[in-house]
Amino acid sequence: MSLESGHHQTAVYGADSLLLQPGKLLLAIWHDVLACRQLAFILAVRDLRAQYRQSLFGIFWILAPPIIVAVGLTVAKKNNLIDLGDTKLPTLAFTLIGMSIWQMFATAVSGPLQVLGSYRSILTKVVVPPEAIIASSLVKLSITVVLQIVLIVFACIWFRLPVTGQTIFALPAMVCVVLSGTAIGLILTPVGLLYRDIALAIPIIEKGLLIVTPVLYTSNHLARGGFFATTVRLNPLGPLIETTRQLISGEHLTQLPQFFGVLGLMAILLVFGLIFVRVAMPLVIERWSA
Amino acid sequence: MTESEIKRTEPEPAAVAKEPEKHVVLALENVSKRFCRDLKRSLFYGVKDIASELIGRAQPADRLRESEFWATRDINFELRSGDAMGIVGINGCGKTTLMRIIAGLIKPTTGRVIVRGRLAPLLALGAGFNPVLTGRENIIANMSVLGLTYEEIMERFDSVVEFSEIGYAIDAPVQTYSSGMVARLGFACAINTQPDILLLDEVLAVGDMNFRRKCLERLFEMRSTGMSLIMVHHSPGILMSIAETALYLDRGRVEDYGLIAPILKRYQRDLAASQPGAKNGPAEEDDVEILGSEEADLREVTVEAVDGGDIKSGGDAAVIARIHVKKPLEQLNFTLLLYRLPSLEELPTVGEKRSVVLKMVSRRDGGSVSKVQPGDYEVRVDLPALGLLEGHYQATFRLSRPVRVTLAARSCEPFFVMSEDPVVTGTYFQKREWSVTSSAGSRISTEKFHAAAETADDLMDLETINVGGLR
Repeated sequence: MSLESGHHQTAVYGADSLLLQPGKLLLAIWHDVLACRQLAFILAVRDLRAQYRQSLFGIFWILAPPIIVAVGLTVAKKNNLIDLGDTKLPTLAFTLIGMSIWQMFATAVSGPLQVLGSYRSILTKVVVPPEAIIASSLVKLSITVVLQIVLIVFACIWFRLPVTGQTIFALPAMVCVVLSGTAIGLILTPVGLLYRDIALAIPIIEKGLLIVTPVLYTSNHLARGGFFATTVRLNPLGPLIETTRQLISGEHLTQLPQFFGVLGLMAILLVFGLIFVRVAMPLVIERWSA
Repeated sequence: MTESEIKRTEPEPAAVAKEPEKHVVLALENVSKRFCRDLKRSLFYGVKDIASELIGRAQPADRLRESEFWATRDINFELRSGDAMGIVGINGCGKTTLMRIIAGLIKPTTGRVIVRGRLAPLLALGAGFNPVLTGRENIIANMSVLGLTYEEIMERFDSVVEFSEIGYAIDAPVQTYSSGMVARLGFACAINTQPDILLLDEVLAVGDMNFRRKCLERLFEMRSTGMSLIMVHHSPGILMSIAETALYLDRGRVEDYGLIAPILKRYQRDLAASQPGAKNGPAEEDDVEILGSEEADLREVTVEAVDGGDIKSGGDAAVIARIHVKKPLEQLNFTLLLYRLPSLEELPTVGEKRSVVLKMVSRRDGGSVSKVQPGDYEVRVDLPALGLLEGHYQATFRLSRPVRVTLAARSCEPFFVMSEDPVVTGTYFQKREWSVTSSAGSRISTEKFHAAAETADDLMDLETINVGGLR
């Protein structure tokens, strides 16, 4: 009787690259992404419970970074230490919103690497779809996002920011920011799981990126020429962050075409990243315990 | 045939009954895996492998790169539903690597693995238990990682708790559990996923005797419903009681594959041969072989049946030691140790001690001698109605003087004790006679044993013993 026939699920682990049958691979990934929703949720609940059971202040640690940066910059600007340019918004609201969006992005970038690394003891013993674990980190991240949104809503009410029709699109824009960060994170994950250098480099590079991304300033305030201005203009994260902020604060959308361009790029990156992680995981696991 | 074959004649689901030929649930075709001994290089190869995987290369080169070795090489076998296979081999022979390839955790370098049905790998008990979370929370997370939906977990939750016997601590954090409790919980989670194939890698080594027996009983039960099993275990006794076939690995290659009893026998023989002096060698520290000293020598130690025939359970035997005393000794003590040796039922592995079945000390028995003059002597220990069960044994004779100074120690050639008992259940041989007398005082004749009368009951009895590991 043939092994492949029958009602049971049949799995074949071969030496050939999974990419030799790209259609089959994509289908398998798609199937797992759909099938793993419950598992992702269970894992997220598990991790969150474990995390907060050992913490006194809990969610405070999610809200602290943007608040501290915003308050700090507000004080700095009041004392004329820095010039953030013509922000149209009160400094506190502007920096709070900017930093919140940036934190969503930054957390999303380090998410896949960090979460897969923390599942090392399980991944070396049981086959778990990596998509489920990555999705569980997105579930956890969504809690961060919700808290940031609460913070932003408070800021909007406090500063009496206009609520317009476009505000409603801020939420999908934030989802796009998170998925873009995840896409970049996925690309870094396979090598990052082997070499710790990647995990160590991410926060440092993020600090540099924060400077060349219009998070704490606006791009229309930049000088025409110069190396810095060119870098900022070419930075694909710019349109992503600025458009999201403009959607929240009800400002005029200055970079909508670029925003969609970047989204397209990120979508391709996301699919590629998922394939990358999928094919690399067994090879990483083998090196983990070899 | 083996116990499981007998069990399988029990009624099975109709779908299976229609199909007398058991289907293949697992097949390995020329599976090889190379590993790297150098970590830095290993990581670099990892990146290279990922890159070539992305390019979508076909079959990778069937050769080794620098610092690499074949952890497993050209492994082929098939496992059918309900089969149980043991994997034996010394440490580093590729057992765990093979298990991990079968589990789908790592890709084979060459060849392929085909798995049909749900596979539950139990490569470490309680892998992934979060110590901060409660037993309840960990059951849910662990079983969902093993591929169950939340509804399925809730359905089986009670039986997991019941089987693991930790109901009283189910809401306490797992970090407060003993290692035995964690092992029980891990095992209970894995078997309650009701896998078609279960992989067990040394996981029955933990936990107390009762729990181990319970696990073995459950494994038998699950096998009778068609579950297949592959297990790695250090105890040949446990392997023998569960598996019917075995794969013998040596440096990554299949050395032998077939029925378990001959393979274990061969593996044990190879193991003994690879250890210099292991055959007669002492295993206990206080039993180091010293053929002689300045004061006395031990020339020879033999064991024989008094009637000159085979040594039998219940028969009269004697141990004879020929000694040569070189200096006058104030007092001379003798110690006789009887060891049970590797036999099919209970083969100790490397590092495991031969079990002492009996230690006899002349000083306590009134067998010591004092004021011994130089010369040759023969020391004879009579063992009437030998209480040893059938099996291989070895005797070690030791000369000493007060206080515990060993002058000489020597082991005899291993000997075999035969038994006429068809099935022996117990730990020693008891000579006995049965009689039945009516109230009037007349004796009723008793029946002789007939092999043909061996019913299914006897066989069931045997199985229970095997499961319980009572041998």
